[in-house]
Amino acid sequence: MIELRDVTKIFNAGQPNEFAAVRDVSLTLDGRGAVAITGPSGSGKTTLLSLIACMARPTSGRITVDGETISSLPERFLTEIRRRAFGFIFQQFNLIRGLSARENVMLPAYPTGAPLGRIRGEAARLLDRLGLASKADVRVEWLSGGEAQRVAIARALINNPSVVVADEPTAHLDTALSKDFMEIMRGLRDEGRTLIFASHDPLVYESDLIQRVVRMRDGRVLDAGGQP
Amino acid sequence: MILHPPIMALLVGSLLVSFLLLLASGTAVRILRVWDLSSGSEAQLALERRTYLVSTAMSYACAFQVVSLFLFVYTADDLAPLFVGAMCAAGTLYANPYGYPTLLLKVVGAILAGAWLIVNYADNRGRDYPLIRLKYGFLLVLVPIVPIETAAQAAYFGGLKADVITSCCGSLFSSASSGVASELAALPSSPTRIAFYSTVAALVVAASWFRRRAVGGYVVSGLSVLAFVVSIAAIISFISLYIYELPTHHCPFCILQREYHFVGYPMYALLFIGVIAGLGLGLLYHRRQTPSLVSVLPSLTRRLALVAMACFGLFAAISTYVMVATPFTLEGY
Repeated sequence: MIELRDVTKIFNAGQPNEFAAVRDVSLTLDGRGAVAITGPSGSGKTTLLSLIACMARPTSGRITVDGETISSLPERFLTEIRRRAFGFIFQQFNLIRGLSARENVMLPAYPTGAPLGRIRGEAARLLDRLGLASKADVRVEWLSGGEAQRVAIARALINNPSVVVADEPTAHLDTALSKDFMEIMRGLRDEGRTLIFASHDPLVYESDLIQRVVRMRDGRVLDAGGQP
Repeated sequence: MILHPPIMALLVGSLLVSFLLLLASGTAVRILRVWDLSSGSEAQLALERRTYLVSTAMSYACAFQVVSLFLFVYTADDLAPLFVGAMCAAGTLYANPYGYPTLLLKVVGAILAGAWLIVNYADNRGRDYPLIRLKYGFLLVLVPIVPIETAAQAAYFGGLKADVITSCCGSLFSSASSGVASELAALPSSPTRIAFYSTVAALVVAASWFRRRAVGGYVVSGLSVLAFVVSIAAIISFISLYIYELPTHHCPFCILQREYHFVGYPMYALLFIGVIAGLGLGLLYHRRQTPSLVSVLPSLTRRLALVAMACFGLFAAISTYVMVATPFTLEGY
């Protein structure tokens, strides 16, 4: 279970360009299932996702994951939780150009110290599952948008996280690819993983996969739950 | 003042460390006053973020503090040829009134800084900043020492005049003179030898017992400090005599020179590492019940006990070898 208590995130605090991306958000996300955080651009969805996935620290407030307060953890422990518990699918995919699909997928597993053979095998399994076995050795800049996103999904899953976080996952996909993406996500949900999406695409937050929609605006939560 | 690269390094380094310590003291006071991990307030979160920076900066500052002791002594030894009468660091340090106070402050500062590094290391192993108050409280102990030492060091180096006639170590550490150094030199050989070996043996036994049973941490810590003091006294009283093969030369600095194969450096390094490990052990043993460190402290304190035991044991072994390997004897002294 992920719990946010009075979480605020201010960028450039004390500067003339100070900006409160998230304000006083209190939210409880039960384990298992799919949650969509929706709202217009600038509403704070991505910042909230970053906070939940330990990629940023709040300016104030506390975040707990399975009862442990993660927002106060020293960085070395936070890194460990981020690596073990969260898989992140970025809006721009953030794949590393010049590396193959397989190498991109394997990257987040290197710091875990797992044997290289096991990492290679897991990467092959994930790429195969996502229909990319034939593209494993292709450099990522040569992949189509849909293929690149599936590589990003495989990379998010390489450490077998319990929570998969996706930021505007369908922003660069057409309708057919977006539906494919949601079907892949359905499979992950059925495996028992928690899915958290930030999206203002109705294809995402109106999908029957989504069990809860959190609506945001101007950094605040307008509606913390319920169906659209 | 004599412009010499190690002097410049020491002065600049000490100034930086003092500056960093004074900056960190503000954070330390705030942590001692308002630290509350259960709070999600902006001030608390800012303090949590700030402690990373301060702890990292202090780690480097404390590491420099430990190393600077050896650099200071090396520099004093290196400058000896510039002063009439000086044969080693003993004479250089006596060239003006700030030399020995600076050395004493550096010794205290190095030991405390080393112990702080151990506490910091342990604190970083916990998920909830378990030793944060101890760590920053301890840092405040260093705050007055290091700036005073920096000022004393600046006064010492600033006041060095190459035409000063100073005393040589032979007269400073002579049993016929007066003062602390002379009193140490005048310590009777046999009782000091018994005290030295007894203290080291007691430390080895206590540390072994601690490693096995995890009890008596304070005893190991106290014995480490005692063994450090007794070992310094032993060097001056009788160990140095065997190294120099002279019954009247008690200088604790000449053993740092090339003609004695720089044997003083490993010997003093062992003493300092040993006492720092012992002191660190005592501080961590005091917090052994800390919930988030129960899986960390037992193995860490056992390792510290091993380090303290090994360092003093090795020091005793080197000293014994030095005494046994020479034809020189102190019979009847």
